Amino acid sequence: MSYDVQGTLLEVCTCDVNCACCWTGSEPTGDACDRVVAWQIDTGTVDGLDVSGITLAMLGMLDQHGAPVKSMIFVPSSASDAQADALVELWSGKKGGPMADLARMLGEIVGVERTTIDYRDGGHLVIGDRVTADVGAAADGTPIAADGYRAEVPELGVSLSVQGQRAVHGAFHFAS
Amino acid sequence: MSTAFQSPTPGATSRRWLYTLVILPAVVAWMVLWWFGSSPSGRYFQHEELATNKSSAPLVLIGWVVMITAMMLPSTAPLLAVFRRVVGARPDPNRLVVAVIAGYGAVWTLVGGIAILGDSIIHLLVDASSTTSVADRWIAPAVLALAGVYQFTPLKRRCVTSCQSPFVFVSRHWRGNDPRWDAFRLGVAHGWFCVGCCWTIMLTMFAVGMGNLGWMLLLGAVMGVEKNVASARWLGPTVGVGLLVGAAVMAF
Repeated sequence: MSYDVQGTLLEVCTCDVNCACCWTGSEPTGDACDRVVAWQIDTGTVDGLDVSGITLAMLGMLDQHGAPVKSMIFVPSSASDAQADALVELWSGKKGGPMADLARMLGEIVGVERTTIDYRDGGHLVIGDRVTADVGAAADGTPIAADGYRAEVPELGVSLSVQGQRAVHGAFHFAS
Repeated sequence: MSTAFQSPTPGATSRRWLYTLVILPAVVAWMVLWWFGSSPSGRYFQHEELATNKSSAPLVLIGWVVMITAMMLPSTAPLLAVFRRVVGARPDPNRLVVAVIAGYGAVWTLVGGIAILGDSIIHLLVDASSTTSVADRWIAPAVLALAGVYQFTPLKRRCVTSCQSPFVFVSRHWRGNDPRWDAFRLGVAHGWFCVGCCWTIMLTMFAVGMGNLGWMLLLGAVMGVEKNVASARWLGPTVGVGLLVGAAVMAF
């Protein structure tokens, strides 16, 4: 059980403040936070299986305290079944290491969907017909969903369309 | 996924660790600084003492560590909160938070040691030269000008950005196979980015106001805002301009 995946991540949520309210323990704007996170794996292996070039995404709900409730995982149709299984196991925390810690923040995983995931330039994300997010920079340079963030995931009871909420992008590196 | 991984109420995590590990030490440090500042031994915390009495270097370093605890520790709270959340299901999350703080403190202590050593060397060189008055006149403005120019460099920008996104920082640096050591290393990495953000201000502190409570409160607040409030991008350049103006005023 070893893995090493790295690349860039994008998170867009429905809050007004810095993203990742669930991480800092501050409370989300409004009654809850519905966030989408995409991890673009530039280079990666899971138990020796190459997963480079795959972008994995998830839509997760946080309650009014920023606590994770449930999530849905999206894996690109272009990935093989073996790659999809390996990544879902890794993201569910079953491979130990840092992802076992981070997976706690996903809450209950209600489903895994194979779909198209288009993620470009650290800012443009389209997940099938479920999610679109276009992230640009605000006047002061901070990343925001300038051109909107829309999501339709009935499995989670999520139907939203917002504009100008906060986003975060940066690098990730999970290894164990 | 297995629900065994989740703590019962991950959202309503107790904040007791924050009070015990961050707020209490910082408050105690401020009280120590205030107490020393108003007592005769307060001078041991000030770097002027170094110039006249070399043997007080260890005391100045202790003063530096107290100052870091007061000024820098509170601004790491968001990172520590993210980290505490991430490792919340492990058996000893608070010990891991302490390891992060230890790594962070180790970097700042090392930097303080280097600053004190550098200060002593500069003073030795100045004392040995015959142009003491000329050198003395230019050291402080040169330091301020260097600090001011640094505020506008890409390195500074990169370090601030890294500080401002604790979630990304943890996603990048947390390993957890050897938890305490990995937590210490995460603290060291955060410490270096933090030094990259704030060394100019701490150097200014060292030059003008170590042991001066008012300066420490003001500069500590500036650093806290700059590190954690992404929309305060005007702050870094403003501080840079202030330092350059200060350098010019001191020089001419």
